[in-house]
Amino acid sequence: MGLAGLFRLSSLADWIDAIVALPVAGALPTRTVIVPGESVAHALRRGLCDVGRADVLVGTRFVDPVTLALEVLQKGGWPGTADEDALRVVRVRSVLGSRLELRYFQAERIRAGLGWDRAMARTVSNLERSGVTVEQLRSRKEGSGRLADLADIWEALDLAAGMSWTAARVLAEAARCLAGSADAWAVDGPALAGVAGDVDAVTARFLRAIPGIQVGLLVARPARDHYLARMDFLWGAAPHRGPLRGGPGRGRSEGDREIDILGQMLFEAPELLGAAERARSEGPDGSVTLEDHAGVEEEVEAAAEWVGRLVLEGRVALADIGLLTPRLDPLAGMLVDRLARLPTAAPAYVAGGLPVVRQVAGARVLAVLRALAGYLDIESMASLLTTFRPRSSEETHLTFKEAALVSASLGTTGGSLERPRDALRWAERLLARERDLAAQVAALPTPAPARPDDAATLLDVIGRIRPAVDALTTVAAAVVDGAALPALWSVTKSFLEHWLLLPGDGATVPAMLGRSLEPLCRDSGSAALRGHEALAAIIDALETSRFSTGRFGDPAVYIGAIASAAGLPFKAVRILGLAEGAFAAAAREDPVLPSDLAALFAPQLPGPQDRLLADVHRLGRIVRDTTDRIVFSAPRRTLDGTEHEPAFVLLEVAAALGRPDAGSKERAPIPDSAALVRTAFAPARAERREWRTRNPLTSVAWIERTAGLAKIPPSWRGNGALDLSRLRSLMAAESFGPLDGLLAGEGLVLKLPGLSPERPISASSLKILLQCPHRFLLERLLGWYGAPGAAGPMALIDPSSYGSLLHEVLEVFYQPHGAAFGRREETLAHWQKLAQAVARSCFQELLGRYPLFGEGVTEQQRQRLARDVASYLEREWQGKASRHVAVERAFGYDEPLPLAAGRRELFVRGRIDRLDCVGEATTMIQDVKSGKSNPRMGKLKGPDCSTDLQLGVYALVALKQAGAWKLPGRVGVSYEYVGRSEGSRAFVDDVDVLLQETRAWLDTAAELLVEQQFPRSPHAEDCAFCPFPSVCGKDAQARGALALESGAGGLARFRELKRKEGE
Amino acid sequence: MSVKAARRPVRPEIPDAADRAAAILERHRNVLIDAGAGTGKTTILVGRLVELVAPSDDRQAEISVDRLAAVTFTRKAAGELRLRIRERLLATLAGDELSAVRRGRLEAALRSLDTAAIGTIHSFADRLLRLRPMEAGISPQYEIADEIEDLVEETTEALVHGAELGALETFLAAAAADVRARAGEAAETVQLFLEAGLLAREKVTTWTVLGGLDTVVRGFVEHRDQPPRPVDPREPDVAACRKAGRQFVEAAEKLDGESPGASWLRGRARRVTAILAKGSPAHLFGELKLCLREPKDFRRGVEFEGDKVAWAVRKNLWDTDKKTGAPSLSEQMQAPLQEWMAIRLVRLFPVVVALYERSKARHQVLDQTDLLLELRNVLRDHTDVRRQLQGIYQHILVDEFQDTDPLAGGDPGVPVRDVLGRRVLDRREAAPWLPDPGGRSQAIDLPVPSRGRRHL
Repeated sequence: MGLAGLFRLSSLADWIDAIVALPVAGALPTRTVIVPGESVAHALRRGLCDVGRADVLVGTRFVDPVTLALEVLQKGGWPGTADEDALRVVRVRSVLGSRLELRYFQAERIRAGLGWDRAMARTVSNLERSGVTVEQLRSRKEGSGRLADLADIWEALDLAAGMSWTAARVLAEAARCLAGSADAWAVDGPALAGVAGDVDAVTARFLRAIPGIQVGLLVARPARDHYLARMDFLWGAAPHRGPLRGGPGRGRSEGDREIDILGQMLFEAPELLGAAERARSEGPDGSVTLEDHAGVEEEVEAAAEWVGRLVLEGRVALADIGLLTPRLDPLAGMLVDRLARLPTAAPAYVAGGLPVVRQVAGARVLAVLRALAGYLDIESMASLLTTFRPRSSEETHLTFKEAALVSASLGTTGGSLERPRDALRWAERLLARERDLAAQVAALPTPAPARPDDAATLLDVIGRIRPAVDALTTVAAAVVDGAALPALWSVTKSFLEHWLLLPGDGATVPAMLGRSLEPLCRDSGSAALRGHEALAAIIDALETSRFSTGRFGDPAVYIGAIASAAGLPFKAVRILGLAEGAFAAAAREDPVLPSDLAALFAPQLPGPQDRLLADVHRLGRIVRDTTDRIVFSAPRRTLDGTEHEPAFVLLEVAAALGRPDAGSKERAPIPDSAALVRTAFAPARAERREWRTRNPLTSVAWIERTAGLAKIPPSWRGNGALDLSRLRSLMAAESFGPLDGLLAGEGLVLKLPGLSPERPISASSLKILLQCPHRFLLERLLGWYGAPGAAGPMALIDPSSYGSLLHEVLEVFYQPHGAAFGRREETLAHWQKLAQAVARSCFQELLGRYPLFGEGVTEQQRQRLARDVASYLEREWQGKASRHVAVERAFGYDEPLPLAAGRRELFVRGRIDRLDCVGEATTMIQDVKSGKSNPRMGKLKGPDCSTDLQLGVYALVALKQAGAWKLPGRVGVSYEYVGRSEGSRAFVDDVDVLLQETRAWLDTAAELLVEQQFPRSPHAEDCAFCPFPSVCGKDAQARGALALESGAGGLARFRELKRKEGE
Repeated sequence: MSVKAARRPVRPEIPDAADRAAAILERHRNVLIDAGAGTGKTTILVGRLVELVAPSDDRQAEISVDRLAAVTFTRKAAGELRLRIRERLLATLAGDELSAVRRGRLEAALRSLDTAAIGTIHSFADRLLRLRPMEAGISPQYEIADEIEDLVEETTEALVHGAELGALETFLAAAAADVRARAGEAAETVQLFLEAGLLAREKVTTWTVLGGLDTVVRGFVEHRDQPPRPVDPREPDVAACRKAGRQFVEAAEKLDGESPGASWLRGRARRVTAILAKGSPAHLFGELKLCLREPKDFRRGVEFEGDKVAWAVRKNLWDTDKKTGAPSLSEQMQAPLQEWMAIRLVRLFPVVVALYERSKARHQVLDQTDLLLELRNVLRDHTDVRRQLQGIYQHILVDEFQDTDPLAGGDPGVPVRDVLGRRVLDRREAAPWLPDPGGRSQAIDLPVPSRGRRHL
């Protein structure tokens, strides 16, 4: 005795009725209700309570088919496990690696991987679920041997799996048991199953085999031919044929609200939609809304606002609200986050949970695994270092700056696809660097100067993370050396648990991952995965792990995929992400069993059309099970940045509603795109706008409302700093104040450099001050710097580091040899040889802390330095002999060095690259530059503040220090350009002009500092290399010019300086 | 107004109505509609498709929607096309006076519409490729990489590191033998490229973008469907370079003026002498490039202080002779070296493409060009596949035909660029390029803007 009854279910209400009607024998009722999942079971239980039949719950068991099938098998003494679904890909890999003789598939190609394992596993699983057998595959001759190959692979899989079965096989074997003997069924009482059209063939066969079972078929629209044929195949002459009438929910079928009309007409045949007598909408009534949004963010924002509105205005219980999407990720996570930020945070339940890698801890674990897969390349490691647990609990983890400092100070470190074993060098590089630094620190005077990038700090930073890096290197060694999966997972887990900071519930991530990997580690075939393949399996397991968010049935907004929500009753549903192609889109062709071959097994094996129709049916069921309101929402721009039309569903919804056209008032049976906008989207937009103005629930709406209000409520003006009138006045164009950098009269006590001996100012700071005082304020006074980035291998040494390197070489060379070189002793070749040795040594030292992109690039940069040093020496040699005085001469560090600046003094400090005496009368000052040259030509022929301030300051310093430094009283200054654009920019005979200008520039600088005026530069070219254009805004220069227009004192001087520059 | 009346909007007859009808009804010839924006090309295409799947004359045979492909060039346009076809099918079905035969055909079309081949040209190629990944030699699980920057980066790294480690041949294990045979030469080229002071990676500054080896890689990858002409390796004509260099040095050394310009030229002459004294072509390439950059703001009356002789030397160094067209000395010095380096780089092409293929295989991705390229190759190389795929589609409808990349049709011609820089078909060559089984194509011009009709 198998199937006892087959009947149709139109909605959840019908199903509840069927449960109530189940016959019960005996004093203690026992019923079995077979459901697809726990959420439907919960909905049925709740439904029974809602209709006053909670008594039916007594003795009623809700259970899914696979659990029942396992019980059947276990009763028969089956000793197997049902883990095979998780193992199938690995099993296929193992089978493909054996010597199977294939006809169509090229063994070498599929053994090489490239995804054939996954593709084969998926196809075999699909066939198995559809009840297609190996024999059926063998019986067909089409497909040039593809089907026979597939049959061989499948057979080999089953053989290799032994007693490890997939869920489909469990169902199939249980059905066979029941067919063989009704005694195999051990459950008392009547059984009822509710199934939809997407049920697979093995489930249907199992259900049909259950003695005395009654099956309710959840019917749906549209009933296409292929759907009917499939239902006929699965259930025989079934009650799924015939029109589906009735709207959603109990007693709502004849209503005239839009949602009732939608329930009756959605996906109905076009001729019925066009029929004059059918029910039509008289216009939007709030029960059905069609929305289009500019993008996904706007959609999510609107969804949050809608939930808030339902809860606060409509008093709808949270559990009665559903937010549904075609696919769960990534919209579900975005919705959860957005709902949590509502003023009255709305808890959410996500059906299926959120990806573990979405959590901070999960993302960190993934970053570690990916770094291992990339052989601990330096970019990945630089960002990982901040997440490592320090060596002791008293210490803190690394900051981004410290991590960047470490990664940039190790030279070329880390492996790559081409150099996998270099991954293992991290530990030794860190150790070597630690030793170098320890030696440097030991050589430092006591007390050591405390600067963030000095040796002692770096030593401390490296010490904090070295144990973690050592541990990670051990894991990398396991990958590189090809450790088996269980061994690799063991060392990886140990690292994650001991050395990775996993905030929040992160400690559970390694355990969760361990549970996912357990079947793989246990299975002998999978455990043979080694090295990179084993790591790939761990990454796969992590990426597919999900964590639960909320619990179904709790008072929380339901968030889920459309597929998972079919069959659940809601009062209000919003379906998001309905862009064209996102919902009910054609699945990709199966590369193993393309649709023309798959069609040989139709209707047993569902085809692409069946799968698409199942999506449509699920949506139809959701519409019919929603009682109060439903929103369809489409983003015009999806998360991948592409533009899309709305999904066809919106056209179907509009056609089903049959609203009168908003423009012509006519009723076209099928609206076109323009009518869809006018009649569906426009009213929704207008309604939302109006509501947001009245009820500023979200921050965006709040701002909109603020903008629209004539008078601001007093409660909003409480915080002085945020007072809107104050902010408005600050931003207003006609008045200038602190936001423009004009701090005079604000009563602020700023520690300004240059005005006191304790805080001297450098020439480069002065240059920035006079280029753009506002940048000086942001960068030098407020200390706004960009976040340090992770240092990857560089294709060339960055300008700043190269400049430092060149200066270092020149210092090391001229310190001992400057005097003899100046007197032109020996030969140029002699000096070149010495200088090149110095250059090589300094370059080698740089490589220890600066990552370069390979040997070729390293050699290129070495040659660059060699060439620049040689060219510099050669040029000097060709000039006049001189008396070497100093290289890298410091000033203003030990003793304050004031320079006259109008009525005041500015205290300066810095280093002069070269000081030499030419003849007895002139001191020559050189500043060596490795950047772009500025020869004295064209506009730059005379002194220019941005270019020459540094030279002018050095000249004034040299004159002031002439006595102390035993220098002649006359000076000449020059920039010596080295490298790409070599040359020089010198002021010797006309140095007085430069000195005069410099005094004026210093006067202006001092005035600005004393008056605390830091206006923006009116010249766009001053902003070219500035990091703050987004802070200043697009009108920065115009506003700067306006601020200077009527200013006096320092502002007037600065205005004059900029006027001259502009000439 | 009644529903039925609304279904039949009254529209004035337009002058080219007969042509439009012909474009919809023609069955035996290709149809090329050439018309401006807003004339109703897409409307005709939709009408033609509906007429094919459900002819208004029941006696005509219908074509299953599965045997039609409608192709356009952006995802948005494809979505719009799909929506318009659905809208037309639904609207026609909702109409009265439909015969049972036509109703049945329209319903069948609606049933299959969601799985029909209506999309972008790339999605169409993707659909066909996934039918035969084994023959195409691609991953069955491939994803489509919209952006190729990471792949280019990985390819560049493989090229540079492979050259340094002497491992290029290993990296090229999956490539053809003639490509593997180039591994040694490629490694040498990379070394020379870097020796010449050229950048391994592109450098973006505020004002300029300086190309690097990755720029070369990206260029090859983006245009790999049009391989450069084969060219034999050759040694640079260093003698010509030296000869031009000596000419400049001799002229500059004779200068006796003290102007900044003359001094600068004498300094350059000394530098050129030193550079030419050294040997390797890569060194000459890099050094001369740096040395012979012309400073801006060199003016005859200012920096050269009216020194005619020095000014003439400057002109010879940088300016092409306007009368004879003879190249400048700078060009004569550098051109042989640049040609040499260019040839070496061009010969990298197959190696770069093979390394790029390696990266894609590793990540199991194809890029947009691959979709067209791989499909073209599989159709070209596998007769059985070609026959099978040809059998699938009876009609192909192409909207925005002018946007076709010639590769999409297997045309080996050089594409032109449209205003957005996209590679498109040269419309002048479009008609002969079309296959024309009937012997003739029907070209239809639509002069009347249909969108404006209502207002007129």
